[in-house]
Amino acid sequence: MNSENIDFLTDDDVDYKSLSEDVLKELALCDELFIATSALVELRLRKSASSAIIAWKILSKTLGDKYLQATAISVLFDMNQEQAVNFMLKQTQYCDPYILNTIMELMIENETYFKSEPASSIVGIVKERLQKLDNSTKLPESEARDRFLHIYRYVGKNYTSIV
Amino acid sequence: MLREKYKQASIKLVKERETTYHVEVKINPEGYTPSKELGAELIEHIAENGKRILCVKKGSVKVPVDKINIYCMGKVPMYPKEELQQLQRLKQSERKKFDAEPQNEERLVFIRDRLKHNWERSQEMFETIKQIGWGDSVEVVDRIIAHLLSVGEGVTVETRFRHSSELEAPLGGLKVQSTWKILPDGTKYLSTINFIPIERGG
Repeated sequence: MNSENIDFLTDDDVDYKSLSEDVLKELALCDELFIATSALVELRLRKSASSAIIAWKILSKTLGDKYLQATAISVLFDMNQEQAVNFMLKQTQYCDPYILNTIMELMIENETYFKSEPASSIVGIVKERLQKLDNSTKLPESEARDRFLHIYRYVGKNYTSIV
Repeated sequence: MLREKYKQASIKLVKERETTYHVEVKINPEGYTPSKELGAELIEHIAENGKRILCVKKGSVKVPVDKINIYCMGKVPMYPKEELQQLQRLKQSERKKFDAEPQNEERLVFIRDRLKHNWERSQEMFETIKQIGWGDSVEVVDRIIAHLLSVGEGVTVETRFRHSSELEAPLGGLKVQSTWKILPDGTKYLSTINFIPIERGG
């Protein structure tokens, strides 16, 4: 099947494992965002170098929605950490809270990496954002906030909870 | 085989006499069936890979039911949250143990980056529907499909991509962005749909 015929289907109906890398690359940039997300993940699972290229394209051109972009950040971090960290350094201050939540999850999972330079600079930016956010906001999730603040309590600027 | 062919099929063995039974099959028992007012029929579109896609058809317009009834109505299955948390904790606190088994990373990526984000997108689409005063009901799916059947009728090769239309509901409006395929026989097939809430001033 080619990518032209796949968006007839729903995400659940597509057998991504059976698709060629070229088809997956097209699908990861298509308008059907459920399919685009799954295609990008399949490229990442194959450890394809093109997954980082597509992920960067999605992030640099703000393609799709926040959910596809969140997947793109994780994929880029797995495949090209330097580029992902540069993106985070520039965007963490302004990004959608959903993307911020994804960045925080990556930072929690990869503590050692984010406690070293240059990635550790992101810690302070996240703390500043958290400080500005109302505690009642849904995102970042409270569990992610608590774990992040516990792990990075001695890194970057101190965070005071707003009550 | 019936369960494979149709996502939702209930199969019941009904006793007629002491030694005679018949099989009663209901296709799509809890799924969507278009109302009579819609003047449309439920048909199967057969995709190139042989998948049978349940569609509502009216004239030359086809709207796949699942794209509305499942994806837009927040019915994408929930991701395994506990498993994801366990994998994330293992990766964070016992990295060597996590890395020793490559399947851990694959599973983490699959759940976190695919299942979770697709589930959350579907939930958000349904939240948007709830914000304008609608709930999860056959009537609402009917209203959305009726709107799309009407939009599809008017789309052309030039306007088929990210076609913008407005859907009115009790508490506001929705901007509907739909993309259509125009098949060689002239059929217009809904391929993607997205909702954007309309913010009313005043």
